[in-house]
Amino acid sequence: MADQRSVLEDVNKLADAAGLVNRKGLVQVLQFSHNPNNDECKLLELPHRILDTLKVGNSVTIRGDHQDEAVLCTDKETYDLKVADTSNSLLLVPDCVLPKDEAFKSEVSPLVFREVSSCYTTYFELKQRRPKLEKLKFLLVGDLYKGPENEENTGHLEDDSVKKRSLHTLADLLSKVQASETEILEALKKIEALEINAMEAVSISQLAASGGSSWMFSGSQAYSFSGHWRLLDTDYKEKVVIGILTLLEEKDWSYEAVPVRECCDILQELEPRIILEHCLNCYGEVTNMETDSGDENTVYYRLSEDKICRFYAEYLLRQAGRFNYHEFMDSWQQSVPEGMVTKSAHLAGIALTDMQSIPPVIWHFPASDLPDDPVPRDLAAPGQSLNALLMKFARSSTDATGVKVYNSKKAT
Amino acid sequence: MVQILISMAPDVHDWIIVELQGTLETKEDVHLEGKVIGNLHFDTKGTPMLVIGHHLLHGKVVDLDKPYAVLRKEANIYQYEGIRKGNTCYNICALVKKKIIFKTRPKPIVFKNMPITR
Repeated sequence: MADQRSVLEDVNKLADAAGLVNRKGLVQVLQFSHNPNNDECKLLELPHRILDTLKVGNSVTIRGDHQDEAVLCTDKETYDLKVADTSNSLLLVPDCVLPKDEAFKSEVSPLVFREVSSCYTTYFELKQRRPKLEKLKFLLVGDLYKGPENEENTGHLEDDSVKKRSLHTLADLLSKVQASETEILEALKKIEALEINAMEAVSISQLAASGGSSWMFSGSQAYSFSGHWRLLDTDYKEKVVIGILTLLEEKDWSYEAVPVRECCDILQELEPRIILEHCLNCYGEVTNMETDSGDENTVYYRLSEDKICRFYAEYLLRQAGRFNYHEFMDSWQQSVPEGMVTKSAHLAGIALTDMQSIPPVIWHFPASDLPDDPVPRDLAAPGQSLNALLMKFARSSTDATGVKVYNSKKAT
Repeated sequence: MVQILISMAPDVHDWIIVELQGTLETKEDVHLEGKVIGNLHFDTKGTPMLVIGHHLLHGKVVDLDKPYAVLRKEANIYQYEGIRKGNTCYNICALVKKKIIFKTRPKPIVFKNMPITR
């Protein structure tokens, strides 16, 4: 301990020379660690919401392919993970104590050595971002559900054939898409995907046997079995929905009160029950009905006028190229169930019109097919507004019809 | 696709960062392991003071708005059908919620009444 005392003497002499007259309490001598391997630790700056989720015992995940920029996901949110440089040196001192700490006050020795475990000039920082969901639809489009007859070979799948068929469980999607679980499930709901397992995809008779007892009333995103997430082929989906609407007409049911069980009992001869339920979920919602029969188990669906009108508009337009606008508006109104009124507002996001041409025309142009990130938005640096970027290279003006247009700043 | 899990034990330690402007350099190219950097004092008001060589720095204790997590890599390497497989994950071994920052210019310490030959 003689050594320690002489160190203390030197330290005090130096402090006196420096004029540190008011010094009080423990002196902590900082020294580099004896263990050079301590460097493997990294510093990550934690936003409060991430700290809170870690505190309750949840994990967070860094996701990305080798060519991707890494993101960090909680169960709900997605963050960009970037390296931040600082011109300062950050010395990590595990055992360092401050005057307010009990350990500072209770330390008996006047001088202690503190190891600096590592010295950093970089750390990782997190910034919340939009989830990168572009890949999701791309993955699901690889194997569309086209009806039970196309699913026959999935009943007893070997691992290899699953790979060949490119079917995806939620776990697969989580490992391939740079987004949180909540964001992926929301996106799946938005693009009207459904989770379906091989049995339900084929076995109509088995489903009929279990009948209503297995009826579950959950949102389209929360079926209680684990299966593959699929998108319905558009032709197939149209066939199923037309089937439901035809039955409505035959049975003289109002579109505002479709008895789900009866509807599915009849149609499951043709299509898997889960698909029927899914389509009803896509185009309607559960409604609370006062029933005369007093049968409380009867669940009714109210089909959405907006969604069914849009469905028919796309159904008609998809098959045609350009459609005479007025003819289209007539046949559209005629095809929707009685009581529904088609409005041009329903066409927003699914069709374009040219009213200047003779005759006026309309054609299918779904906004969902446009890229998620229009090019200029992709180019704008974080913090730079799209408008600022456009103003750097272009000038805006308003044309005769009141539409804002952009032109190149340079005369061509 | 790489997925790396980060988790934190409930009884995670609180560590401190000492932040200095610029970098620490040595005159000779020697290994730094075990080398003393400086002496950290506090005065009666709790102001931190750091003596490095013949220089004095005054600093202050700052609460970090966003704390740092100290991540330690933990590779679960296991044998699967004779093939070595790795599963990288990170464990948060400590949180840094406070730092002692020294951002003033170092003041030289002048030794009075001391032989120059020291």
